[in-house]
Amino acid sequence: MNVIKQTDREYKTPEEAFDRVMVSGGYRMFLLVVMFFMVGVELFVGLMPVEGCIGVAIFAASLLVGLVAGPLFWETNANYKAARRIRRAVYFPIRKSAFLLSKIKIMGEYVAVRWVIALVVQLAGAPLFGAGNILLYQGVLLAAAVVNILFYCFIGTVGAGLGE
Amino acid sequence: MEEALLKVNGISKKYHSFALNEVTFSLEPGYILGLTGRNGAGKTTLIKQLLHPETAASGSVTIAGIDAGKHPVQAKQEMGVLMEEMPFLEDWSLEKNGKLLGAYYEKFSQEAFEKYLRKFELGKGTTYRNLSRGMRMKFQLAFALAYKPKLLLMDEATGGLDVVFRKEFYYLLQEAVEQEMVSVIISTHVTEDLDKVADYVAFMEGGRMKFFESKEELYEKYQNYMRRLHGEAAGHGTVRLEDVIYHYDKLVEGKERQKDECYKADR
Repeated sequence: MNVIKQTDREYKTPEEAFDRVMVSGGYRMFLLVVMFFMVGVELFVGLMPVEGCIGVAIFAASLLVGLVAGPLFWETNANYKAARRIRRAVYFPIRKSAFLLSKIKIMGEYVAVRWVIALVVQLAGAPLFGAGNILLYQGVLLAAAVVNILFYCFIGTVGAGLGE
Repeated sequence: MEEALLKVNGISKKYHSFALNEVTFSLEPGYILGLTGRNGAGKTTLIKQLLHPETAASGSVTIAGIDAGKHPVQAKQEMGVLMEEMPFLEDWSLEKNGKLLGAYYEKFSQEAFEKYLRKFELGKGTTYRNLSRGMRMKFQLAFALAYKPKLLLMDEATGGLDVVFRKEFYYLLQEAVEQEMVSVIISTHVTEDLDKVADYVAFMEGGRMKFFESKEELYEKYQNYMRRLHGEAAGHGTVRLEDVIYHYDKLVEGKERQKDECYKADR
């Protein structure tokens, strides 16, 4: 077992150290700030008190905006820096699985926290705006989360960066 | 002849507007190959394909008997890299960078790493961010030598650095080559440096390797060419790779013409 010490922390393997270090806390923090902003925009539009088909359409539109704009906004900043660092790390003898795990973690954190924030805000706002569309919204958000992870980890900029 | 340390066989890579075309060459242990060519000729692309040939469109790279495409992690254990975009951690000290990233290499020695840092006059407590470009190259060299790779890849490592620094850097590099028996590929368009240190020279043009020859043979060809053109005295001057490369087509053409003349004489 190769143990690397970093101040007061020990990493059991180089891959674990890579995962923690290659994408630093600063990038993750930036991610959270962006997420709060995007989820806020998304939910403000999505929770407007409009019933029926129009309400669903507005939810869907706001979700689409969040799906595309949120990750793109994130991607042009924190993700770019994180992806660039991971991309350059291919020069070290690091297993590809370590890269993939890191990308999944980055995207997974983003999507998971975004989802939790959306749910909390929805539940908090339900008495004001009505709870009828929450289940539908959550179902679509779950699907969007899966698409996000698949797209950005395997197809998008971060995925394309691996091995280049 | 000693078995080649590095064997590159038909490596190709395609991008939208550029293609690396079936590059093939080999390099024995303890030799320095200068890889040169104009900007955009494919030097950096070739260096990157040596590091991860699994992304190449075709071809193979073998280093110290290891197929780098099939066993990239093992192959990279034997390769040291010096290039501007190496992902060392900017806010960490050189010592901590060594401890963390050196752990990826089975043969990495922190003791040897710190010895090289002292030799290259780099403080181990210095933050990577605070190093000048030249000092970063020295640091990368110290890091690489600490795990005794069999091959060092340098991509424009000394570009833009002053003459004095380059002289010092190449002196350190040659010393390392002699002591550690490491082979080196230096990708650069500064041919003056290759005049001093290279054993072999490869010229890239339009994504293909136009030639791969020993420096001495290139010099000899050039001197013969100058003798044919200007007489015996002209063949004894100082030769520069820059001139050899500029006149290369004529050097080869001249040799072919000689062959034709011999053929005609025989008939």
